Amino acid sequence: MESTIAQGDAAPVVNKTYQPKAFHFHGKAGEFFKIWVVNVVLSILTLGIYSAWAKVRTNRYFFSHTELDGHRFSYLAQPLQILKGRIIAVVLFGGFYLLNLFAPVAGLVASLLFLVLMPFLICASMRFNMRMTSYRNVRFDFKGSPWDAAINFILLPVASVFTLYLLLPWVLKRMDKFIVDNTRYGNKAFNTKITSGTYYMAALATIGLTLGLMLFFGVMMAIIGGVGAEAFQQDGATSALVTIVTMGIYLLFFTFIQALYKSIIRNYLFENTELDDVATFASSFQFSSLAWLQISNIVALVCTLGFAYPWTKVRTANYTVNNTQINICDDIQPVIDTIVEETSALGDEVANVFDVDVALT
Amino acid sequence: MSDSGLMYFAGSSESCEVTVAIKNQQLLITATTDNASRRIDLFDLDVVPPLPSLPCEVLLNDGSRLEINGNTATATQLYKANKGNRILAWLESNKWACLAATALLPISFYWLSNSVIPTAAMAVANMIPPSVSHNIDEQVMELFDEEILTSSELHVEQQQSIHHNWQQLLSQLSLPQDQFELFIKKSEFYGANAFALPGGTVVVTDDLATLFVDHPDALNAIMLHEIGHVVERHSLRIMTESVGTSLMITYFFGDLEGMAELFSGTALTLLQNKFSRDMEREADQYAIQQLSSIGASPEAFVEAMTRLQESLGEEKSQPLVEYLSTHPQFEERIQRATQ
Repeated sequence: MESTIAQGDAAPVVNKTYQPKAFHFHGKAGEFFKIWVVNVVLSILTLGIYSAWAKVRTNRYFFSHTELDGHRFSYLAQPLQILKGRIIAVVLFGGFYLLNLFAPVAGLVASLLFLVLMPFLICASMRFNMRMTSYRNVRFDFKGSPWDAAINFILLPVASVFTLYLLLPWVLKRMDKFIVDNTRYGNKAFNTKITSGTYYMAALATIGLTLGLMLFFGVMMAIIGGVGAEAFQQDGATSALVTIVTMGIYLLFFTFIQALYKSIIRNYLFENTELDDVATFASSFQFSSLAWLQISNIVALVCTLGFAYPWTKVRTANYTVNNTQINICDDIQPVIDTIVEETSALGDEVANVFDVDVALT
Repeated sequence: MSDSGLMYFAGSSESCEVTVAIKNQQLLITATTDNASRRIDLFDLDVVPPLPSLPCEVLLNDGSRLEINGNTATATQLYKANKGNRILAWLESNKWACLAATALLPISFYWLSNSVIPTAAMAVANMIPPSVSHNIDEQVMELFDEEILTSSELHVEQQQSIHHNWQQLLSQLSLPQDQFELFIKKSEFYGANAFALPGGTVVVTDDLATLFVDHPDALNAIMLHEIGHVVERHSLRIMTESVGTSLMITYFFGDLEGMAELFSGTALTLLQNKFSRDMEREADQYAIQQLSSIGASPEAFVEAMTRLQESLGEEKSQPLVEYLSTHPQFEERIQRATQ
């Protein structure tokens, strides 16, 4: 945009053209491994306190290594903000958990309070995370209201149970739309034009896949079980082994289904999302490659007892960025960061109280 | 000497290329367009702490942002002037430091889960007042009553004799009578079993009492084991430990997706089972010690375990099962008692 000059009252453009821009992730597994291992050790030795700094450094590494059109993303959160959110979360979740154990009746009341609090926490968290993300020194923002969050994340999902989950795809669509439509980049809004059709298709596809997998594993188990029962009847380790294998199959199941749903929905959502007068998007997630990515990740994690974590994270980031396309409008106007004005008007103190991500991770 | 950088203006997505240099403790920013040129005292700058291989970022107090290649002389000088956490960046890029951290990671993880969390859980458990733990007992018993536990169908005399033994145990161990309460209950669900609740409630099932009808000392051994759980506050500790471990797992593996999350859930279960087995061993130890202090033979404990093993029809030692269960295996428990 270096060469773009703001045109105050340019004639309305009829046909905007969008050009795909280079989108790269430059992070390296080896390099991130070093950052990660130092972070984890320091986090443990400080009994978790350092993890706030660790999170900032990790996020900065990933954001700043993501480059769009020659400019890097930035993660702006300060460690103390993260620490504050974590302390609240530990007190809240830990207290809630203990209350449930020691006084189940009071715990029930607390659960209800928690349910009321949830939408506020969801919105505060999304707002915080968006505001801490910037690109070209312009911040993202989230404008969703707790009331809408309550409808979309609590009331409708619960209601869908009573419709035998027939409404669920529609609810999932509403959730996605709520998130995207309330996201801002500076003074520009994201917009989606999505309908429930694809969500119902994705639901049917996942149900089909589930049935297919159940049939396949059912037959496999019957064969192995039939042979196994004879051969290992006296072996005590067999029952433990069976438990582990069953769990492995369950994980496999879960990954396949998740990969199928995600590849369909993400591509659809990106195709139909637009950042007003600024950008359009596309996504090329594939069921097979996504499932392979996730299964090989888990295998690597298990085989290395977790030490492959940095590698899996860098790999996933690479996959995500390489399969995301961002097209930027040819005659783009400078985007204005609106948050700067607001926070200065509100006063830092007040804004900071609400700028919190109550989360453990 | 000057380096090139990229200047992002405050509050807008516009940017321009600039040249930067440091002279007389001031950062000079020069650009082709005048509005980008600045001269700022070094101590007025906010330099973002360095990270390996990332550009040096400087926040100016008017809200604009400057990006300079991290390997340039200017960047080095800026980091020096701002004392920005250079130690961390050094650790993160030093081969030997990272190697040391890699070796330290499993050790520190072991330390956290085997020493820090149990100690903290013990401290929390000791802070819980008796009234709270009694309250837990009442709520649990109410929940169990008529669902899992029904009134005993044993002969009144047999029940009385067990209660009598129980009272005797308590007085021999000089434990306060009002802090402990024994219930004998019929339970299809538990079979031959006994359990203790945090507030001092001990439940013995009909099946268990019948199993040891001819060997009261063995039943005493089991009741002592349950008293051991209460005295050493095991239930409270396991509750607080499970909070600790789930917080720890969420903390370190919380951002894993999908099935990796399930994987960390498994790790959590394994860890909690380990805590549980440790406590069973402690309670066994307590029972064996107190048996001799009340003048009974530790053989009674061995007898109790042998009969329980038979009644449950458990096979001999199973290597993998160990990690999946909440109790140590009978063979091990018997072996410990005979030592």
